[in-house]
Amino acid sequence: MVFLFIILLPLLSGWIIVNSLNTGLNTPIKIGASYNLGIGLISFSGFFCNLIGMKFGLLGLVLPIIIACGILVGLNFKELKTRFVPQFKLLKSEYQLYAWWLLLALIMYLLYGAYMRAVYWPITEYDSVCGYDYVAKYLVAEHSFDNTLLRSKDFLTGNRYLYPAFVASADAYGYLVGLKNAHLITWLQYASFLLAFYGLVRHVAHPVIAILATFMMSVTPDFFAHASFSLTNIPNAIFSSLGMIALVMYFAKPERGLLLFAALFIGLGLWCRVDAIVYYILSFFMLALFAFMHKKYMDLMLFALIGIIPYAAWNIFTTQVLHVSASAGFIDHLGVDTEKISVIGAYVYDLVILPNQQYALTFCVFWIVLMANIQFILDEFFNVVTFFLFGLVMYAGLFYFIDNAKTGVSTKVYMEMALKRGLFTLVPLAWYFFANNPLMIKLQEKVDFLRQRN
Amino acid sequence: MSKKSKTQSPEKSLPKQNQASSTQEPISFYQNIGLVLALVVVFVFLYNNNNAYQWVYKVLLKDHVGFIKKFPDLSYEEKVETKFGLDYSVQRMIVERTDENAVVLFPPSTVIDSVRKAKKMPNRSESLTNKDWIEYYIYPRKMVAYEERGTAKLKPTHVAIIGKQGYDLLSYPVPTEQRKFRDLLPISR
Repeated sequence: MVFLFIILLPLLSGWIIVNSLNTGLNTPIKIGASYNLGIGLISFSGFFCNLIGMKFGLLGLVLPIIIACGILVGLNFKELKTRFVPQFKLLKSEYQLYAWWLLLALIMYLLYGAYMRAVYWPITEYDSVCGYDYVAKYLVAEHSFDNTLLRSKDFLTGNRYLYPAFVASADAYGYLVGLKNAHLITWLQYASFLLAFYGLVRHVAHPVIAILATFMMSVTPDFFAHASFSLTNIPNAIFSSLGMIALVMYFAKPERGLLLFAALFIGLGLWCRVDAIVYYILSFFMLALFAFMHKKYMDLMLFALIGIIPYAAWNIFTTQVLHVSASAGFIDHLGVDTEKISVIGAYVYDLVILPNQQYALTFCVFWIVLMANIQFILDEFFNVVTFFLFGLVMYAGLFYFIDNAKTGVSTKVYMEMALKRGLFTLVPLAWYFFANNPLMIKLQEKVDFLRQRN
Repeated sequence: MSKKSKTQSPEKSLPKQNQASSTQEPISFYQNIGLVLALVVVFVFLYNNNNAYQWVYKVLLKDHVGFIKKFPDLSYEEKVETKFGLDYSVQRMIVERTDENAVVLFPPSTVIDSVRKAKKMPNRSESLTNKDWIEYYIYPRKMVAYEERGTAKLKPTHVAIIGKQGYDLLSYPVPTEQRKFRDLLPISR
């Protein structure tokens, strides 16, 4: 049951959807993205069916996905073999590289450690115990999002609606099919993401550079620690960063399939956390600029619509069913609060500029590579650096607009509890840029064994 | 922003699609070994000079996996108790000794805090004064905090005794010599 529903169904359904999009992406990306897309859509489907009147249960979680996949396979029946059978030609280039095997072994060791922690330790993460996983228990017991817990007016409970329900719904899905420990879902997402990220970098870099970037990303301390937690931060980072990197690839080669791929993942990021709206807005504006320059108005509309669906659905639920508003905690007047800005600035400086316990050297490497490629950011706008820089400013800026008096939580606490994990989304962007910048490309051209040929 | 690029975007400068069909220049044995050695040197340097990477290896990998291999058969309750000690032992006692419809009255949070202080336990969110935290672990049983006992819709069926506190909430007397540091008793006989 667990293998079928928790591993096979998300993977297979995601695979069918990703391959139907005609993205031109390589097999590792498609396999890695498939699991994440599958589990994200299953989780959302359960909620959506409940919103339109069905009981929250296995039927609503999996039936729409199975039907959608059946239709997609039917529509592409003539191309069944060329479209849906994985191609593993890529790996033929890597086997002769000892360094590649060394880095692969290190990644496997990290995954082994994360797996052991994930399946051994019960859920004890505060936000899950008092939030997502607790909601999952009520979803299983009461078969509805309109349940006793989410309707409770208790302070902590009353704020649960601030988080869209990806983790709660995915955990509940797990429990419905007999999963003992929902950490496994996060671990599967993380492991799949490493594969997808490798594939993304491999699109533009030598195998050793690609796997080095993947390893350095995966060993980023807090990012790795969260691979065994049932929290929203890793899923959000996976969804949002996959969406943004796919959008960068779309800017280079504007194909509709890539755009839809990006829209689905940016939308799923919003299905994890409301603050992922920052990445949706940023992506929207960059895409709008691109669309006006290249007359891709339909693409812009499709992105805007698909990306916002989970957020809109959750908002309809919270405002129309629970009768609460997620925007209630934001300031309703404009003004300059220099003290607040300096608190936010100091934390951003500590987390993003200096080497630290959470991110080790990840962001330091990013800034060094960026300085070395300074001309690049002046010349190119539609790239991963723009997403990183604007994403950082907008995400940190979000905390400025929280009304601390209304929420009862100080900016300092938000910085310590939310900002440090909220920056997870920037980690894959930073390591993607490390592997994919003009200097690295020149290096690959100069060094004979790093050179690629067609 | 819209000015023409002087450099190509990385996506444009490398073969973008169907990379699966691309191959690398052949690598010699010595280049292969050299690349491995270079990586090893960089990783050893990073590991020795960065506490955060040491934390990943020593704590998240070595310590955790070592603990898991040493105690592979701990129950769910024992694992949570390993992390939260006294706090979870109270919740575990509730789960083990009551029916699923039990409603447990807790002593005042100030009393619980003073017990924690006396025991030199850190003051954290995951404690016996956090209703959400407690109810997650005793689910589907319910908790009524001392502070809400007058207004709570649920009628307590049991009282949690913590640090010998809570006996005054029972409807019957308990002799001093029978009082325990931690206990769970029906609110009335």
